[in-house]
Amino acid sequence: MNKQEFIEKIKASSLSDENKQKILSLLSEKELDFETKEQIKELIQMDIEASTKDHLAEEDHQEIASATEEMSQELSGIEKDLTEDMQFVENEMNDLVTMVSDLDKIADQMSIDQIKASI
Amino acid sequence: MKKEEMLVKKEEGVIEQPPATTNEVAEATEAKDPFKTGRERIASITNFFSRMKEKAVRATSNAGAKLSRFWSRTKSFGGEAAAAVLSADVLAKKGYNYVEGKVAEADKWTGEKAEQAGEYIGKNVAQAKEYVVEKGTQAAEYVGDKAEQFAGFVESNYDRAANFTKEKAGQLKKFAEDKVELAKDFAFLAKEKTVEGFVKARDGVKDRYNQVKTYGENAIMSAKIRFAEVKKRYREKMNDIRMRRVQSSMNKMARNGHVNPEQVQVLQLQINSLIERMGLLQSIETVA
Repeated sequence: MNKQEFIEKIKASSLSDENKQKILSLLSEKELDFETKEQIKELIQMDIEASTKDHLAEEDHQEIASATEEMSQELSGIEKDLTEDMQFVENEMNDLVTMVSDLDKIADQMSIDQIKASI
Repeated sequence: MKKEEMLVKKEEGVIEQPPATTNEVAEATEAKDPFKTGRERIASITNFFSRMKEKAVRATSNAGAKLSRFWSRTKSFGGEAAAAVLSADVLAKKGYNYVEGKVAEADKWTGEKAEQAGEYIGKNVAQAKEYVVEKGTQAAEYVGDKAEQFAGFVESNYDRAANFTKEKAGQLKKFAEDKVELAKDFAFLAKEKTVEGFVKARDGVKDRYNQVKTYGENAIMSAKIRFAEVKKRYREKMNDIRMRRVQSSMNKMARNGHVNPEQVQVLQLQINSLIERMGLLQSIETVA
């Protein structure tokens, strides 16, 4: 499906006017990349949530709570991995700053030696 | 109100309920909205991504700015300064013992990372593809580490980021090996004191900067992709529950024999609406 076909599909849909407009704005103003698609999905999901209230039974609540807990744990795993990765990047960048500083001192010394040699 | 008055009113059936406390209101709202916890958990990670990105941008911009200044200053080395050599005496006076310490440190780091990486490699995870660093990068490229550029991925980088997790072990292993090589270059520079040695160490630092920066970008984007996958599964699960419940209400009505045409119409509309929206969620995945 191309972008225009999707725009037509959104226009013809029974989404709420508010969400429909938000989605159409995103489609017209932004590049349809990963981030934009995620935003559009959020809006569609919000529309689903708004249109299907008050039809849940107690067993649904339990199932939702269990799935939410599982999802939350998966997100914790992602957070943990990314925290470690960003710590790695920070540490490595700090090491590089030290290396640059060391090389800078060496460059100073090379310049001094050059001047000495030319005198 | 006095106790006696309350009893009278209770008997008369006109007693008013005490106003609900804040906690009771919150509990009642939550009971009505079982999706609230999930929504809040999903929302919380958005701030987390921003914090992590800021952290990486700060570290990368700081190192990039220092590297940029250094690069501008020393780019003539290897050219007009080709004849220059380091003064062993001066280095000795400064007590420049950087090299031995760094080699030991790098070796230790390699060991730790290799151990971590081993778990992945043991599971036959594909080896990381060799990272190709473009040579001859000019200093100007380092200055541009603005927040909006970091992790400013578009579709073209999706595959690279999506493969990040399975290639991570190999990448970490290579980072560790490269760090040892870089330490060796520093050792060579201190020992031989040549311009060539200086240029090699300098280029090594530059290459490593680019590699670490790319690693950071991929890590953020990869986490976002994983987040999107978790969210998608969760969303599908929640929507299945919604669909099942509406269909169940319809079936229940049919079983009881109390078919209210208006209610049937409402439920049917809800089913159609859910199907349509779930279809839109699937369609957006395939839009190119």
